[in-house]
Amino acid sequence: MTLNEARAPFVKSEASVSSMMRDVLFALAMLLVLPVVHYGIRPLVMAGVTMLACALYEILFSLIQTKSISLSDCSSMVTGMIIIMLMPLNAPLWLPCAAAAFAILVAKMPFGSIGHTPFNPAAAGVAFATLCWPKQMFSYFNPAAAGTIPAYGDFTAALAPSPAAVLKSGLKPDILPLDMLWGVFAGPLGTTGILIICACGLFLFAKRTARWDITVSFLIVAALIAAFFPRIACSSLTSVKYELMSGSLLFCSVFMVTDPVTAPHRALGRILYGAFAGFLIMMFRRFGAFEQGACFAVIIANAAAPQIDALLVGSQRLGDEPYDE
Amino acid sequence: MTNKRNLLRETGTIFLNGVFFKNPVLVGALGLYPVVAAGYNMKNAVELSLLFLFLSLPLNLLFCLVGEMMSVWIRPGLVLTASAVLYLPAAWLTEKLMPGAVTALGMFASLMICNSVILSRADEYAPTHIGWAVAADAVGGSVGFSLVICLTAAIRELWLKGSLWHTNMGVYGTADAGVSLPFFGFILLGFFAAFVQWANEKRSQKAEKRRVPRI
Amino acid sequence: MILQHGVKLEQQKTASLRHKIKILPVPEGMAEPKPLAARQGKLDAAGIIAAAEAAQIVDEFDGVALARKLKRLRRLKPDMIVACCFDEDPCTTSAMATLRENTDAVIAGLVLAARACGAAENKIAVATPREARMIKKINPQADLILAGERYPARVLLKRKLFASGKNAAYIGAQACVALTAAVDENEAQSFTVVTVAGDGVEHWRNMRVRIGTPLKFLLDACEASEKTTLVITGSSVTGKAVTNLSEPVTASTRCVIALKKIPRNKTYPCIGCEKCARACPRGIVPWRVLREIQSGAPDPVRMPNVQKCIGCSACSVACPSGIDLTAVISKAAAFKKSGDFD
Repeated sequence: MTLNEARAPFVKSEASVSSMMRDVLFALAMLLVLPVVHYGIRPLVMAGVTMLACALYEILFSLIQTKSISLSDCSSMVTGMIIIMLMPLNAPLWLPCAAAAFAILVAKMPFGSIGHTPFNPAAAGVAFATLCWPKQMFSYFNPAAAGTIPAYGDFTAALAPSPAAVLKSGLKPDILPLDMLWGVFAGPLGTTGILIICACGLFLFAKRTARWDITVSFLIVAALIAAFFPRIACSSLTSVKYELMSGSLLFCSVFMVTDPVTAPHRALGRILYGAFAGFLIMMFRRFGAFEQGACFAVIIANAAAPQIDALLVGSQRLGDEPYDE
Repeated sequence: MTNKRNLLRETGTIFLNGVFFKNPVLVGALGLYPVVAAGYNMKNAVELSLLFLFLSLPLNLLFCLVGEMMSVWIRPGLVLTASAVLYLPAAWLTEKLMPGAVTALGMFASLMICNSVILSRADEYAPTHIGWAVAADAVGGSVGFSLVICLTAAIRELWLKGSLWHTNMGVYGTADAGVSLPFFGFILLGFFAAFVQWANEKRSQKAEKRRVPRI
Repeated sequence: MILQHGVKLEQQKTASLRHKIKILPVPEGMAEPKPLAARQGKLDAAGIIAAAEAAQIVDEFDGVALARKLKRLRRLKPDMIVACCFDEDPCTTSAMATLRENTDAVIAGLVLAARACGAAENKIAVATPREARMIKKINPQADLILAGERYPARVLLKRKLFASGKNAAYIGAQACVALTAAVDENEAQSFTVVTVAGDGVEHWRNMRVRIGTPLKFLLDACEASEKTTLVITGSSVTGKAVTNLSEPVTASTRCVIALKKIPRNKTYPCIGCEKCARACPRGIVPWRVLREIQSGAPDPVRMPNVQKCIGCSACSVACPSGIDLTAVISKAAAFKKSGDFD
């Protein structure tokens, strides 16, 4: 047997960047199951096209940079999936591709790809699409009135306002909060399956891919603001239920604010960051121009994250050992 | 004779610096507001550039003349006042060249009075340099500013309307108002600034290679 | 989720603990160990240390001569002596196997060591409650504490004991057994227990071998396959790769791991997940040190605690991006020590 030289360490913990990204991809894929069951194959087609587009953009940029092309960390695919989850199902196919182009070519690769992005690329892509094409981003089809949905190609259907839009205009949504749990109402593709998002969240926390402190502080602050300052005339509990289940708030809390690269690194900093993002998203809902301000809130909170870290600078202290062996 | 040639060469360098290598908008990060907020169609861009040139050249030359005669602490205030006064002939000239310009620009035209590029050059560069250098710097800065604003405005207008200068170029403009928002201007400026920095780095690398090592 | 330091590694201990320790025959050509002279004098602290010195006992965990260690501990006066009968390395089980089969000898040696350095308490440290139950069944008098299975368990247990107000010192299980043998039977330390593991060997066993046996004998006894490309001694996290198989076993070898594939990790940039800071038992924040080193002008003030690094590599193991943080920290410590900054 020929023996080689190698350097320690020779064993690694199971978690690696690719495995963490694969966990997130798996969780996002689970979110697609219910829409496929209800609406046919279009969600899969859109997700596939967007992920392919993201991969191509990353390869293109690596070629321009004359760096080695490596897609083995699946972070571009995760970005693509998150973008498609925040779009309506009846959006034309070029819309997520345009958002993905911005996300990868402007918000991710010029900064150094994974690990160095100051803003969450998926949030930046969705924000760009929202600003440039607000009509296409927020017209959701009515699930009850839709006939067969074509796999690709544009389709026009009877439009229905999503609960978030109804809340923004000060009226109570038609659908009962309990019925919203099953996910058959007008909204972005991945954000209506409330129960599945909760399950995905628990899965990611158990695998230590996402940190639970950000999500919990985010949801607590959002719930408190919804309880004390309801947008519609109803009881506090109903307001909390509607606010937490409408729009992309829950999805954003599990998948977007928990991104470890853009979140602060200290434990107390993460709690402050989650609270700040929750406050921002409720303010955007109340005073913003669009019915859902999740992506903007995430971007502003990302901008504040380094400052939160700098606020809490200070190293851990250990008691001095009396002697070393 | 040699003095004059040196003078010409240095003036050329100052001009080029103003245009590209030390572009006041991209490298100095000054005067971002007109570019980002008002530079969303070509007409605005050209009008603003003309206004910039007509305002900065006389102002800089004036302060090259009288700058040393006043105390340093009062100079910024006087620069601002002089800028406001000189705005009137500049605006009249722009209006003469492109009728309806000043009214179309609205607030942005009069905000040129406190454009940070013009004020900083008049306050810091003009009083302590000779006339040729000051003129080269003012004209170079104007050309640099107009380059940046026209480029961003061209891209934004093409994307928004598919046309340049209100004539259809045959390119289908797809985006809604989002492209005319300031954030898009900032992103474009970011990419341009990166390009200028890359050019500067290449230049300094070449200069280092050419330098003869001293023993 | 309580903030626990250290990193969890996948334990692979059951295979080698299934059987008893196998005694490997001494290879030919090795000299017989000389018996020591009979002990004179009382069995007090000095006597015990003298016996350890004569028997040339080496503590298997840190490679320090036991006599020197006991003398040093006499000076430092710890509150507690702990017999280290657990292995923080996921593949090694030599300490546990020794405790399981020679429980009384370990306890006796522990008592002797405690007497030698004047410590008030003595305890045996095992890894899991299951093992504690097993040892209690063998000898109900054993005084046990739990060390847990997170890597690096030795340092973490010491920290825990220090936090509860007790200065603890470690002594290895095999060193205790050897001390008992030296005092009672005047035998020098000539045998050691080594775990042979890894996917390159057929059988994972604990072997009792004569100190000085070439590694080849151990691997052959466990049927090492021809496809082995990497042999590691010491520990699978911080051990050394061996290319010459006639290298002799020493008292501090403790494990020999044969691997078929060299583990290769792809390195990504740091994603700021903080797993390294949680893994570090000494309070260093490796990702910040990495960022500081990678910047143009490293500032030593922003690298606190790097001089306290013990080289356990828990940070490198925990890092999902595959960055070799141990090397980064040692570079930072050298930089800080050199004073070559303004």
